Amino acid sequence: MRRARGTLLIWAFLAPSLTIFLLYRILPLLWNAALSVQTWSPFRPSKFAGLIHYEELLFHDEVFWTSLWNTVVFMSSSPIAIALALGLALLVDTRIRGRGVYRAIIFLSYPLMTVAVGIIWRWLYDEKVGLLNYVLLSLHLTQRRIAFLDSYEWAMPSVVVAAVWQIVGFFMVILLAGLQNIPPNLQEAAALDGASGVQRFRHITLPLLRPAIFLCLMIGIINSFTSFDLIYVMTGGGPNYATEVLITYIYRVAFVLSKFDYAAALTVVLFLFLLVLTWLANRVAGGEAGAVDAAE
Amino acid sequence: MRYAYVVGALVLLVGGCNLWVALHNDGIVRGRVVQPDGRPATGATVSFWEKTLTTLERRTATQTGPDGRFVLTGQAAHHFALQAEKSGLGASPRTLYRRYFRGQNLVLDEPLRLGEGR
Amino acid sequence: MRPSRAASVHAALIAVSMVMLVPFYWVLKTSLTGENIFQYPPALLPRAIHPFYYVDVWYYIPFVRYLANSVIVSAIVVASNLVCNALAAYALTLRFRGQRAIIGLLLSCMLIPFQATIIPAYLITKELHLLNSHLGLALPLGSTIVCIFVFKASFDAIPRSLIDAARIDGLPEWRIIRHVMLPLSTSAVATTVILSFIWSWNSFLWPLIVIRNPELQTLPLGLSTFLSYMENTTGALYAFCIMVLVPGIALFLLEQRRFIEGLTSGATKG
Repeated sequence: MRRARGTLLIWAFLAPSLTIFLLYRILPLLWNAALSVQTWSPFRPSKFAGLIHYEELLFHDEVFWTSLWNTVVFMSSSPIAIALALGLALLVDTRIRGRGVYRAIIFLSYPLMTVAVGIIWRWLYDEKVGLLNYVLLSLHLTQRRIAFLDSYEWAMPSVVVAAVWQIVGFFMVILLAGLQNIPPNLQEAAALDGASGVQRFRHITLPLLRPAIFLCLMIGIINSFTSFDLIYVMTGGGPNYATEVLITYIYRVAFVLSKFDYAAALTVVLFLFLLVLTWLANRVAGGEAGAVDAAE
Repeated sequence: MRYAYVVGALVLLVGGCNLWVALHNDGIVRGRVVQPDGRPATGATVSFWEKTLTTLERRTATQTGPDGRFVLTGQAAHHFALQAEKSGLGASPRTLYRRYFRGQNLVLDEPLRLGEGR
Repeated sequence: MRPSRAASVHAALIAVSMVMLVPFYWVLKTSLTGENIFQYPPALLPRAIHPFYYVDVWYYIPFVRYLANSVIVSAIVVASNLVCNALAAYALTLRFRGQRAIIGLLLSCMLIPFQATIIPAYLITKELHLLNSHLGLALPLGSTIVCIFVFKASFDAIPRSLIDAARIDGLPEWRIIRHVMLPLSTSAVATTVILSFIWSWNSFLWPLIVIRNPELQTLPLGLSTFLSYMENTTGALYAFCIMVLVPGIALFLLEQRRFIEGLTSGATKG
């Protein structure tokens, strides 16, 4: 009797959270899969339609492939961000005064509203009056002003720079925590044995930082698939889909064009891609990269 | 404890500002109009234009008195333009003015000069 | 450390700090002076400071309404997260049949990003008649798996003797949570508050989908609506931007350490 009441209580405690996850994570996953094989319309009842949406997106939709490519480009900015963050972490980890201040300044951009950050960078990239154009012209690096967000070649790199700017502080803090977990006597022993700074870095620091680096990589991968705000505000999908990533394309198809069924198929593809990439990254990391919540 | 100080300071600031605004927001604009030669312009029409983010709309107008001074009341817009004109002497340029809060009582430093506008 | 080495580290870090801070400075300057909205070349130092763009924002944009909506939704999310996650984590510390299955379920749910669920989430919210409502905005964010595990790690660290003593004293379970477990898990509480607050305060995609009524727009939504109306023809946009960023920056500076710890433990799962 006591055990039965105890179990009931346990499930009652779990119920609120489980309801939310059931309603907003598990059920949507299944619903997406179901929706992607139907024809859906707000006016007619849905009918089973097989794989026509998948066929359409794989063979007849150029924007899908463009957006997939853009997502991959976005993802490949993660290693750059991690390298920068590693450099910053090494600098901040030295015993200089005021490193808390530096850490705060560099981390500042991460918890801020991405919409506001997007507006700020839009302004910096402005073709006629932006600061970046002014700096480039003053340093004589270009002859004419560059339309960063309006040109086909520069739009995606510009967005990537803004994204890296925002996340480098977060990566730095993670790597900093990893650096501080390395036992100092290892470094000292190696120095006593005559290893140079570079050798110590390559053979002690880097291997011990592997979990932290792969954590950053996972976060970067997930970010590139879910980073909607920045792109929507900065370019809205870019001049002629130059910055359209998968998630902005899904939003456009679902909520601007109201084609929920096709968008559901796109979402299934996004999720599968994300799963495969996360699994791959985990395998490469040796399985101990640490789980990351993709809820952001 | 920091939060108490921050919130308390904010509350005081907001309360103080609201009090000041309430005491000073009758919406009066005083100024004067001068002729091209520097003498005060009597009987010139001063029109008040309200500026929104996208448009400029004429709201009201008044006449200057014998000393070239005018008083505009009842307009609260915080971004507005004034233009003075008198037949024969031309018009002043339509100049934009700003208020810190709606209805702030304003006394203009520079007079509106006829003849310099279109 | 040799002074020359310290000096070069400082120099490098100062350069990086400038790169991180110049965008804020630039937008702040534009919001205070309105220079280089239309003219070029831009001035590097502000020339004529005036607060009138902020006056514009105050009167032309319903800033207080947006702020109130954001605050209400964030408050609901934070409260819901604290309650749901603490309860669930406590339940998971007890041993019962299916405990491991539930933990495995939660771990695999962590792989599902919110963005992969927007379409059905919209349809579900519509079925529940929660479109255009604060509750509808808050519900998907109402509980996060990361916070459950953060709480669980914290609860697991509490010695069983305390809990057993409380049980022997006859305290009901929820009382145990409130008076024994939570006071000993302040860092988990802080992490949950910070993580759920940031996620709900900055969330843009979900309000964009769910809110059609301008009365209920939150700050990010209001900002992007204003941007789409006015583009960059007025300094009021940048004043709005600064006003939106100020609470976030202020909170961060007040609780810096907890922010950084909370966000990193959120990523590394405690």
